[in-house]
Amino acid sequence: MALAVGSAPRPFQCPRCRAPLPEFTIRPNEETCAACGTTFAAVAFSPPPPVVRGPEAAFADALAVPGTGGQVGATPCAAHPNHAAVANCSRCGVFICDLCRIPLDGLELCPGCFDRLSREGALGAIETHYFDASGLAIALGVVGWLTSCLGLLIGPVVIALGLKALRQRRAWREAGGRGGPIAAIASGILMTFFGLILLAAIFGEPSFLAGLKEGLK
Amino acid sequence: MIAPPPGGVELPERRLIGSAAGVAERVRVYRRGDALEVDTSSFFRITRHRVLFEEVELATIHKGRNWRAVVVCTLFGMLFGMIGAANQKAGGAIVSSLVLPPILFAFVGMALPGWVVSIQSRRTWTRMRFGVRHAKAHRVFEELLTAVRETQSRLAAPPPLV
Repeated sequence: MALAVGSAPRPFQCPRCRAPLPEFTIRPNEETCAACGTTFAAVAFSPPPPVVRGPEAAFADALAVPGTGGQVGATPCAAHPNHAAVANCSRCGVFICDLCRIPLDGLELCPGCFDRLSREGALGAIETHYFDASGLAIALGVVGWLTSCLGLLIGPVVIALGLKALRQRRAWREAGGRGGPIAAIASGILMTFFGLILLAAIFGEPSFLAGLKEGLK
Repeated sequence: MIAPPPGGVELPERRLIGSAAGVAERVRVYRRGDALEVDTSSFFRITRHRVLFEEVELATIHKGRNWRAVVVCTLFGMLFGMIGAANQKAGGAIVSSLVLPPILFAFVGMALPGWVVSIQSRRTWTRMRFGVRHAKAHRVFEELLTAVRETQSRLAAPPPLV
């Protein structure tokens, strides 16, 4: 069973100021926003209504399928004693019915485990926040050169972040976009060498060592 | 910790098609299959949302100047100029040479307005700015229109008779 849900009426927005635009003005030619005066070309679409499978549909299916819905002798769901279990939770093993089953990432989870794993960030399929390793590598690369005396400390961090960014790109199946991380890694390597040379120049300098000894005395 | 999925769904490859920048955030828009994947990066944290072609209601393109960038570049140019003027003896010439790039950038931003492509769907929306690549802006807009039409007509078509 599928439920067709119509989209909530929502006005179109001006692409510049996001002021609501009356829908009837949208034509495939030049439009002008009454609020900011921006002229733009717009093409409107009529997307098909979304087809969602709500809990009511799953509930109806659970009752309709023979062998479920309180059949005598069937293993009951842990949360719904009147429903027959159709699977075990992949994490905790509890019996779950069709209403409770959450198939995700090749697993079948109960709602409790889904909540816990999503809080822990262990479910990659529902992840929407990521660490921007590439951005931090590039920013630290610039900071490292501006404070070149800290190159020996910042350089290895930049290299590690650049490698992490490349791994991220691979995991996200991104075509291209490797220029930034590779440039950051190269910058990190140069920065580290520069830091080593600076260190050698400072500590290898006889006058510097003499001055240091004088200072210590 | 759970084991990785034995046979997870293979995502289609994603390709960068445009970007935009705000005051403290950077937006990069990728095409992945029948959707746009929008990565909003703010303080080294990426928030990802998707604009599904099957839900797109409006696509627009317009010409616009990025006044924020023009003002910021002008301010930087003025700052470098003032520092250079105040320290003319001690390396002032070097600082003064830093005036040129931001002022040039501000001038180009004012003289050549960029193109902005926006896609609005039932639940989400995104915007891409193309500074000097005007042909690319129109190419991306046409590509998106074609992709949205194809996706929506495919979904609207009746299922084949078995």
